[in-house]
Amino acid sequence: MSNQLGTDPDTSTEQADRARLVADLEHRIDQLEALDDSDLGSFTTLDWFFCITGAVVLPVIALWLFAP
Amino acid sequence: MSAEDFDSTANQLDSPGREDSAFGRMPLLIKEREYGTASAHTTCFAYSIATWCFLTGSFVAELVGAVEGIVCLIAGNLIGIFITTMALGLGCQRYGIEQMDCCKPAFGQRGIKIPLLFYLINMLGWSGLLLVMFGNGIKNILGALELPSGDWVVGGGVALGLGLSFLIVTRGVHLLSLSNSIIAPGIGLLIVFMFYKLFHDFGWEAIAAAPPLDPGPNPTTNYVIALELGIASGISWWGGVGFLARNTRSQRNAIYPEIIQLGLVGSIACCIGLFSALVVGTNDPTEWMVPVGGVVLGIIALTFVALANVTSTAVSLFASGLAMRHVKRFRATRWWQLMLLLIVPCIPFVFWPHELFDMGDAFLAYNGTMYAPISGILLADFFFLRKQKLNLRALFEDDPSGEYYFHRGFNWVALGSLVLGQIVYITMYNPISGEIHPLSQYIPASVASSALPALVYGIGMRILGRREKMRPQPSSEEPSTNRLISPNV
Repeated sequence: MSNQLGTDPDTSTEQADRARLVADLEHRIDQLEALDDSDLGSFTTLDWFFCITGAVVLPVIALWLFAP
Repeated sequence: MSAEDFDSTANQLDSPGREDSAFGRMPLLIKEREYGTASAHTTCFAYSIATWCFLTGSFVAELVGAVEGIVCLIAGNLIGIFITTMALGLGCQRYGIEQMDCCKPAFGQRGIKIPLLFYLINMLGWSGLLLVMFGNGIKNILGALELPSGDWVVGGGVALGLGLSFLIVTRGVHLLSLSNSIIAPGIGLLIVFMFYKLFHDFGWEAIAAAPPLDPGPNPTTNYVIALELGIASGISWWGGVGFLARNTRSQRNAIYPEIIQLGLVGSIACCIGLFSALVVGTNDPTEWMVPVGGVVLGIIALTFVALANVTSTAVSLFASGLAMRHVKRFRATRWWQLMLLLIVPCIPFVFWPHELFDMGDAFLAYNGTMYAPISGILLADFFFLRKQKLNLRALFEDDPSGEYYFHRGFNWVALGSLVLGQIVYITMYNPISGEIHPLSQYIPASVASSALPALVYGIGMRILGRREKMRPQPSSEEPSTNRLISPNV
């Protein structure tokens, strides 16, 4: 059975595709792990301040002001 | 979604389990990511103004008037999108991964099937609602043309919409990218047109004075539930946040466009549904197009919205199909079989369209039940436990020795916290019965069901000594020599 599978062209192609896929994944993981955080742009304390103020603090104030 | 994305994926759909394109699970390298600042904002804008905005606005119109509705929709959406976006957005962007993979450090390799189930419920539930809107649209077009239009038209429309969506996602995915490039700007124009007509024909005074459609006896309760719907609307974006963020090149582009466009602009679009429903007096968006726009423009708008609903459904089916590839059993299933399988849960909408549509507001709130605890757990995991460092290799490792394998693939602390979050939500606000706990007046159910699981998860993981599992990824000075033992792609 295993010999038959081994010589089956479809199975061989699938195995080759799978090997290529895994090799590609390994390559991507290596590249992304090697990236420094600065390569991705920074999200600073000031960004957090803007996001928390704009998306949490101001909406809560508005909700409080307009509550029935 | 660009034409190239759909085409590259479409070419691989007939090769089951090989969707290793931008839509697949492969981590995206920086050079492969599409979105700079402008394109990230444009894409998020196109997402934010979809037809479900009309539905969300009209659900809120049942409870509160225009002013309170605006506040609940905008504030709620912003809070919801903040809870959802921060951990997922930064995590998916840093490693180029999609959201299900980003959940693995918290839920485990097999535990992510629970968020995956929620994701499918969310996608298919919205699809059903949009298809009922499609069926209602056909019925109202026939009505405007004074042609016979019984209730059976709606169910028939849902069946037709399902068939069209199936054809699009199995035969002509390139048609979807083409129609999307027309639909998104068209919906934008429709929203501007509707704003103009509403303010021109009715005026702000009439809109502001219009009473809610079906309010409860207690104004505070109505306000709390309307806010909950707003937050749930923001949290509903959970399914799209990872895809958008992983395609961005900088961390800021992973966060700001989502908060500004999905949170702020999306909620403004929801206000169209709110205003229209209030002045026309119905929660069905397809019923106010003709009264607001006139017969000719109303029919054009209805036709357009109907088409938009079909393409939105097709996108949901498409995304659901790709998500199903996370399950080993479905990795080798033919694409058309997978799509057929996903259509089955939508079939009840053919037979009970009105009954299920009337439960739409409960479904919207239930999105909060599903995603709020997950978002809280991810916030605690990504920021406080892992200090924003994931082990990328372990995300793709199915071997039990993998860092994110936990106990038989499940992290029971996360799953227990998730159940706790759902109990908290249902206790504070039951979407089916509409009952709220007095505490909901001070803290929304979504926020509580996000915060408490986050706290319990954080403490639980510390107590159970998982700190050895929280190792930061190897630094660039110490490249990993490990190789995947059992890759899960």
